[in-house]
Amino acid sequence: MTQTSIVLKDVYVNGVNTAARANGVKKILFGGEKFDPTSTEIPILCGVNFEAKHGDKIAIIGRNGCGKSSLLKVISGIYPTSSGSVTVSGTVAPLIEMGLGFDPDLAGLKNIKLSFAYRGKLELYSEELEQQIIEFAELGEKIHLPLKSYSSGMQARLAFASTVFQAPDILLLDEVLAVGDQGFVEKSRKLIEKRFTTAPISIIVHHSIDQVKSLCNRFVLMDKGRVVAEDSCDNILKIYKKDILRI
Amino acid sequence: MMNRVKIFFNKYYYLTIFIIARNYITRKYQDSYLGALWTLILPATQIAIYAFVMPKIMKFPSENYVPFLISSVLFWTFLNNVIIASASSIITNSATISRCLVSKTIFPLAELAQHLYHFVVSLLLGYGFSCFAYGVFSIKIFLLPIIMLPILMALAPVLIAISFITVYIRDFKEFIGLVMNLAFWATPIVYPIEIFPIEKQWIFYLNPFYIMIKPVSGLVFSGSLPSIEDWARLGALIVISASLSYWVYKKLRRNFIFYL
Repeated sequence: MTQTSIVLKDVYVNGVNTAARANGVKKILFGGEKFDPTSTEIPILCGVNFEAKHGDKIAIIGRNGCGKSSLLKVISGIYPTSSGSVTVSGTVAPLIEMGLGFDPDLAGLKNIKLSFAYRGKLELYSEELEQQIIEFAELGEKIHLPLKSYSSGMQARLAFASTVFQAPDILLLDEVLAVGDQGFVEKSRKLIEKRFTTAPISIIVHHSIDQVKSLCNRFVLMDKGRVVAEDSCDNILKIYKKDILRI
Repeated sequence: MMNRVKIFFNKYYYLTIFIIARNYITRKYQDSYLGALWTLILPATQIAIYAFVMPKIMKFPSENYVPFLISSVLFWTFLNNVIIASASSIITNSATISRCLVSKTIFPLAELAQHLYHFVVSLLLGYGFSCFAYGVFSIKIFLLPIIMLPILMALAPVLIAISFITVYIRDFKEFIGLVMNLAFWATPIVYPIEIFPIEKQWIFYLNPFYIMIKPVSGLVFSGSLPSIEDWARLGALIVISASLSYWVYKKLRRNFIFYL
C-alpha cells in the first residue's frame, strides 16, 4: 500500500484576469489593436517546492493573498499547474471555505446532505453521521428550518460541523478556526486536534501562528506566491514579523 | 481519460445530480401558491395563443391543432428551458466549484433532471387534456421513456459543452438565446411539416431540434412510433453531440477554474 504523501516540484500557477481578457477581445474586434493573451495572466504560485509525509502536521502562515489557499487548491486538484509537478498519494478533504454550496432557501438538514454531495463524500453520509453533525452544531429542532432563518453564528456552526465530519488521509483546513462564539471555537479546536491525530497528513492555513502552533509539528512561511521559509515555530514567527510584516 | 469515464459508472455521481435537481425543484416552488402548476400554465398560455393566431396567419386546417401544439410545444419548452439554463449552470455554482473538487458536469445534468421533471408534469397534464378533449389516447404512450432515452443521451453532452463554453465566453448565453429563438421558427413546432411540399421536407431533417422533437411529438399526438430512419438520425445525433462535446470538454477543462 502506498504511503500518504505530497510532493510539489517547482510548481507555477497562473490565473487569468478575465475582465482584461474580455477588454482585449473587444479591442481586437472594434479597435483593430493587437492583444497579447499572456498579458492577462496573474501569477498565483511562483516556483513552489513542498513535501509532506505521513505524520506531518503542517501550519502554513502568511499574509492575505500570499498563496496559502492556492497551495491547498493545487494539492487538492482544484487548481491546475502552469508548470511543475504535483504528486499526491491518499484521499484529500479540502475544507477551503465554510458553508460551501449551502443554499439559504433549503432547510439545514438538506444543506448537510448537499455539502456532502458537493465534496463527493456521499458514500460517507448516514443518518448517524447526520445526527452527530446536528448535535455538534447544537441546532436541535431548528435543523428543519430554512438556512436563511439562522443567525450567522448558527450558519457557521452548521458549516463547520458538516465539513469536518470526514475521515480523509490528507486533511486541508483553510482558516477554519474563526467560527461561532468563544465556546464553539474551543469545541471546534478540540475536534480539529482530534482530526489532526487521526489524519496521516494535516495542513492548516492561518494568518496567525499563535492559533495553530500547538496543533502542528512543521511551520511553513509563504509570501508573494512562494515558500520563503520552513523552520521551528519561533523562528518562523521571527522571520514573519521582521521580513514580511516589518514590525 | 479512463478516470473521467469511470465517473459515469459511479452511482454517487447520479445521486449527487438527483439531490441537486431535487433541491432546485424544492427551492423553485416552496414559496409559490400555484407551485408546479406554473410548469403547465406558461406553455398552456403559449398554446392558447398559437391555437388562436397560427391557423389564421398560416392558413392551414385547424382540426386537431391543439393536440398537435400540446405534443410539440411542451417538448420544445423543455428543450428551450434546459438549454438556456445549462448555459449559466456552472457560472451560478462558481463559488462551489472553486472550493471543492466536484465534477463540473453535474450542474448542467442537474438542470437536465430538473427540467425533465417539469416536462413530465406538464406532459401528464397536457396529454390528459388532449385525451379528454380530443380522444388522442394511445397505449403506446407508455413507450415514451424508451424514446426519450436516446434524446437525453444526445442532449446531455450538448448541455455540458454549452455550460463549459459559457464559462470562457460569457456572451454565449445570449447567443444561445438568439439561436433558440430562431430555431423555434425554423422547426415545425407551431406549424405542421405537411404544409411544406414533400420534396422540400428533407431540409427539416438537418435540424437537430426536429430530429429530437419528431419522435416525441408523433407519439404524443398520434400514437405513432419512430421509424427506423428516426432511430438512425437519433443515433447519429448522439455520436455527433458526444464527439463534439468531448472535444470541447478536453479543450476547455484545464484552465476552467480561472475563468469562473
